[in-house]
Amino acid sequence: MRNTFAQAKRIWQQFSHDPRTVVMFIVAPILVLWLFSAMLSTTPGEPRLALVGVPGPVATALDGVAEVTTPALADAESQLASRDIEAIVSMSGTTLTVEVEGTNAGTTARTLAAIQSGLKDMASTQASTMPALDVTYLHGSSSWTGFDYLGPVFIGIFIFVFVFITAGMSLVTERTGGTMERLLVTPIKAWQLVAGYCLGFGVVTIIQAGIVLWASITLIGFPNEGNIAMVILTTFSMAMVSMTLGLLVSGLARTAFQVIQLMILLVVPQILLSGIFDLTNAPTWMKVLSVCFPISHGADALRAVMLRGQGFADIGVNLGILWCFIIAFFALACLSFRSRRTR
Amino acid sequence: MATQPLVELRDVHLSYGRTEVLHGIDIDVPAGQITGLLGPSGHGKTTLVNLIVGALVATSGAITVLGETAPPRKVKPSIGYMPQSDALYDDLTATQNLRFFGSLYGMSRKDMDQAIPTTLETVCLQEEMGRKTVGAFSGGMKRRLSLAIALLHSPRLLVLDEPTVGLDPVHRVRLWTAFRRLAAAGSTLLITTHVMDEAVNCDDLVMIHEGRVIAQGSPAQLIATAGTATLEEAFLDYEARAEAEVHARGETPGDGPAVTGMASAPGTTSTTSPTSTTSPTSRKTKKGKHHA
Repeated sequence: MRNTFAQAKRIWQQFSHDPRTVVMFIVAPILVLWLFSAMLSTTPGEPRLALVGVPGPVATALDGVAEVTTPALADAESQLASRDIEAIVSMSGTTLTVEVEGTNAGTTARTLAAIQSGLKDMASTQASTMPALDVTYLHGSSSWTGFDYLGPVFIGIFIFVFVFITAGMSLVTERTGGTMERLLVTPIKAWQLVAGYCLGFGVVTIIQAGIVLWASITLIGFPNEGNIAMVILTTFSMAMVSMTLGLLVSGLARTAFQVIQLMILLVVPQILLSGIFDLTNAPTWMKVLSVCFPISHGADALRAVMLRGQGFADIGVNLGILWCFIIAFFALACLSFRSRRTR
Repeated sequence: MATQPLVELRDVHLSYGRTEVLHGIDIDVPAGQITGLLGPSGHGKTTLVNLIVGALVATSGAITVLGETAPPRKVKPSIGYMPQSDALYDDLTATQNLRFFGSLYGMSRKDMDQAIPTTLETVCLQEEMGRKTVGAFSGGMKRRLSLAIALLHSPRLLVLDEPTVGLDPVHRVRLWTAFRRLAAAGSTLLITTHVMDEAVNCDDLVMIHEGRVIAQGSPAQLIATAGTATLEEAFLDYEARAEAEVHARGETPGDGPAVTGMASAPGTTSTTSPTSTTSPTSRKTKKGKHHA
C-alpha cells in the first residue's frame, strides 16, 4: 500500500510541475466538445417552413419557432425538392402533416423539434388541444439521430481517448527514460506499480471529468436529465476502463509510436461501434462486437442517465460490465509487467 | 577468502532470441571490496549487471546474490543499483526523486530526512535541494543524483553501471574517494567501467571480452601476469590471447546463434579466489556446470 501511494504521489508531483499538461487535460476536452456542439447546432438558426392551409393559431405558433412562408402547394414542393425549405406543413382535420426533405438526419430532427416545441407552447398558452402530428419523408426515413442523442456518447469518447493517451504514454515514457528498469529493481511489485498509476491518475481523472462535465452541461449546453453524480460515476468508470487498457497497452508497447498504433487498433473500432452510428440494421456480427466493447456500455449508460434521466437501477448492468473490464485489464496490465525483461 | 562472496555467477549464459551474448560467465564478487567489471562497450557488462540486480533473467546457469538465487526478491532492499542511463524523473526535483525511490525501498520519512543530506553531500550535490526540477540539471548533476538514489538506503551491495561517465575529473576523483570510503565501511561495490585509470582503483578486476571473462584478479596481479607496464596493455594482452583461443577453436568471435547450450564451447574463466596468487593465465577450459 505504501509503495502504491508513493507511486501515486509521484504522479501528482509530476503533474504539479507540468502546468501545461494540466491545462491541456482540462481545456482540450472542453474545447473539442464545444466545437462539436457548435458544429452540430449552429447551422441555420430556425428551420424554414412552408405552410399550406394551416389555420391561424397554429401558423402563429409555428411563426414563433421557425421562418414561415405560405406559398402554393406546387411551389412549396419544388422548394422542398431543391432544399430551399426544410418542411411543408399542412393541416387536414386535427392532424398536422409535416413533409420533411429527410436526407440530413440532423436537420430533420431540428425541424421536427422546432415544430413540436411550437405546438407545445400553443397548447399550453392557448389551452387548445394539440393537433396530432403526422410526419412524412420526401427522402430518408424516420431512423434519424440528432445531436442530443450523440452528445453523451461524445463526452464518454473524449474522456476515454484522453485518459487512454495519458495512461498509455506514461509507462512508455518510463521505459524509454530508463526509470522502468530502475523501478523493476526496487522492491515494488507489479500490481503495486499498476495500482499506483490507477490511484494517481484516477484522482486526476475524477477532477478532470468533473470539470469537463460541468463545462459541457452548463457552459456548452449538453443535455442532462439525470443526476450529475450518476453522470460522473459513469464517466469515471469509462475513464478507469480506458486507464487500465492504456496501462496494459503501455506495458506491451516499446515506443510511444506503438502506443498510438495500438490506440488506433483498440480504440477507434470501439468509437465507431459505440452508438455514433445507428446499428439497428447492421449485421449481427457487428452488433455482437459492439456489445463486447466497453465504450458501448459506457455510452449506453451515459445516454440513459443524461437523456432519459435514469438511475442506478437502469444502468447497473452497464456499470457492472465496465468494472469487469477494469478488473480484467488491471490483471492483464500487471501480468504484462511481470515479464521482467526490460529490453 | 574467509567470507562467502556476495555475488556468485556460475556458468551463466544469456541469449536474446537466437543470439547468445554471454557465453558461460563465472564471477565471484567478494564482500567489502570494490570489484570492477572492465571491458569495451557492447561486450556484455551492462547485461551482466542487469542479471545480478534482477532486471534480466539468465537463459541458463546459476546466480546467487546475497545468498538468494537470482532474480533477487527478498534481498532487493539490500541492493542499490545505478543504471547506465540516468533513469530520473525530469519533472520532479532532486529531493522528490530521492524521496520517491527511498519510499519504495521502505525508508520512513525520518530515515530519509537524515539520509538525504548526507547522501547528497557524498555525491557533491548538497546545494541542489531547491525547487529546480531535474530536467534543468546538467548531465554531470543528473549522474550524481542517480548515484545518490542508489546510495540512499545504505544497501549492502552497490551495483553501479558506469557511474562516472560524463563527469568532470574533479567529481570523478571525489566519487572514487567516496567509493573507497563506502568499501572501508563494509559495503560491497560492483562497478562497471571501460576507463583504465579508474579500473586501477578497484580491489579486484573482472575483464570482459565478447561475453566471456578473460581474466580476474587484482590490478597488480593482472599487470604482473601479463608482464606489461600498464593495465591497458595488460587488457590488450588478455584480449589478444582470448581471440587466439577462439580462433584456435575455429569459431568467429562474438557470434552467438550456433552455440546455445554451449556444451562444446568452454568458458574461459579464472574461478580462483581473487586474492590468491594463481595466475589468471592458468585458465583451464571447463565444460558444463560442474560448479553446481
